[in-house]
Amino acid sequence: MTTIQRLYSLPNCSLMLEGFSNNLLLNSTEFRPLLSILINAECRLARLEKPLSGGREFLESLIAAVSQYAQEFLSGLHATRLPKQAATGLVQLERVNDNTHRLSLRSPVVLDSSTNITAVSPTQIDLSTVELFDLVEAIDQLLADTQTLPDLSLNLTPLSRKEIAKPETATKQVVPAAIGLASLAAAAFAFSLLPVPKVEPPKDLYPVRSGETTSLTPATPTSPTPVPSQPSPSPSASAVSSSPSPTPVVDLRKLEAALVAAPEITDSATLDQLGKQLRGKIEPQWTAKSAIPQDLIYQVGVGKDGEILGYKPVGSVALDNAAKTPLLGLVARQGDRPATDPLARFKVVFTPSGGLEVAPWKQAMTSPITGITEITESAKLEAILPKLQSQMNQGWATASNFSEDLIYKVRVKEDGTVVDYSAENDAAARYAQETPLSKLGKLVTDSNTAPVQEPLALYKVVFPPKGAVEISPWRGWQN
Amino acid sequence: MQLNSPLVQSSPPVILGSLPDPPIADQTCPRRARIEIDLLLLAIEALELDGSEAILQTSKELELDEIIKDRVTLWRLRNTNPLRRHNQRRDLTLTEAKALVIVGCSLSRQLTVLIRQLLIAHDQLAEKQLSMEHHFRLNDYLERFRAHFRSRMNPRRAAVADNYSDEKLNQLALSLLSQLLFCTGTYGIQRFWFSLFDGEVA
Repeated sequence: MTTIQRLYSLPNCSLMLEGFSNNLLLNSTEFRPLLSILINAECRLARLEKPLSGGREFLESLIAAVSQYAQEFLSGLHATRLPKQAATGLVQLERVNDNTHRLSLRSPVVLDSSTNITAVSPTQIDLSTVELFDLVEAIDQLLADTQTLPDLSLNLTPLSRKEIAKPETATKQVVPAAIGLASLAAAAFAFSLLPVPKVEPPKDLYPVRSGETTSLTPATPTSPTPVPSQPSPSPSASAVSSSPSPTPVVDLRKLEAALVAAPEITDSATLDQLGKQLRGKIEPQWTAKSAIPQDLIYQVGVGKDGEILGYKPVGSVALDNAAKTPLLGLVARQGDRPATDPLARFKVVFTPSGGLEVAPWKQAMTSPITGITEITESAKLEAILPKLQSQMNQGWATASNFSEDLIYKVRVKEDGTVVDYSAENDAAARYAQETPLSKLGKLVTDSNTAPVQEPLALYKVVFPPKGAVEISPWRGWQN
Repeated sequence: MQLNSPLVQSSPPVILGSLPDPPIADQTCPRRARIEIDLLLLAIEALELDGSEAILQTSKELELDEIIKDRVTLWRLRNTNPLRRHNQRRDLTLTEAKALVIVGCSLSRQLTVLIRQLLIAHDQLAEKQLSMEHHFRLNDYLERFRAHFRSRMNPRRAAVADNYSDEKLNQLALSLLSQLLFCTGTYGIQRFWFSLFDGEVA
């Protein structure tokens, strides 16, 4: 049987396939017989001494990884979706920076004589954009070739909204399989304080993708040399841990961290200015297209220069729907910003009708709605809670006349003094006098909340018909 | 029989068939796609002296002049880009978008050699840590891109204002150049087309 060779050759990459036809009536004089069974595929890259090669699994994995990466390169959006092949794939591609793309080939696990599993460390090579393109093009020429493996064809679909932004589930699936895509954006976007998540929703001028200033002067001294089979101390894990990057997926907590660490800008003129800038940034990005169930409230930290440094969802709905807001894509990518840079905090509200509210956090929190400057730091809330707890327990006789939970919203000073409380369900209003709250503060209804200068913490206090009083921060624990 | 008549006026140009409709709810282009298409054409104009004439010429050759009729139509289509000074508050239909993408990618193919040269030049400059001014043709492209961008995009849009510096515009221009390179490929049109709808489908 004659083997057939096919070569797709470009300046920086050539792809050679070897196989044969399963057509028994193969006519050797046929100009270009059908290559339908693959024996070996070999991918030569300009900077790599030894070609990457493998069988069908390798080829399919290469096609899937390269195809997916090319699409992400074009759209600037990174997927949580893993192509079937990439999930177990031998080939991974990740973004190092605008112009450097790291291709790695994991060798299949080999069983050695003593049946110990030996994994060979992956081959890695950094491709420039032009080299990457040549690889894409070699693959596309193969896919377009109907006389070679006709069962392989271009298979493109746009990433869905979900695939792009699925912070929680994505975190869970950070398994070896995920690294290829996982660390895709990370290296380029990595910065000390706020790892820009790999998920990058549309930004207006998103083609300026990495925003890193180093793009014109990539770290040439070390990287571009071919790195064939780097020895690695923990071979099986090396494919996983080789990416130096921070958590690749949306890590809201890290984005939040900036909000806690930095000193605050309080000057009202500056706040006003920054608020306008912030609105200007969010507004064009915020289309009501992605339906949201209710108002989404975020605390957003903005640097002196107007860059968005971090944000924190207020409440679980805001957390769950964070991906539907444009905030994530707007977070600035600056690696070297010290944590001590002052920042201004804003309250940003997205409404289901497509509306957008931006106001300085303090002002918003002192607004008639809550009437106070609210204590929101977890640490403080944690410290105040026991003080409230002991007061509740002291005055609480469990012999109760009511049959359902009494729920109150209680406003408490930092020293634990109850300022006032409001009933949050009917039973709570009816039986208010029977609770210790009645002796500690005054019952208010929504309409006459008096403004209080002192910062207050809000708690939810529940008196169940039987059992102990339950107290929790009104907005839940932020982490 | 009407269906078989080859000369049905309303039948869309055959070439559009190379791009399938993405599974999006309304048959119009999402915002990001409108920006991206216009910017890609802007990069072509920065590469080629009379780019808009070339766009019209190419659409005629590809028999897309039913859709891209003349300069005014082209201007209107491109001004669906929300960042434009004269943003047309109208939709860009999928058919119109396909026509623009096909013309843009076809032009990029004609410019393949130049696009590759510039990107390779950029790599070399970067390796030597030299500024872009050291390469005449690349510098020329960047300058023209910045000028085009500034004269046509609305600086009152925050997204434009934030990217107004030479440095940011150079980055944008280079990243568009890479995109153009991908458009020159065998399946470049399809790859570019599908990427426009990333994150837009349910």
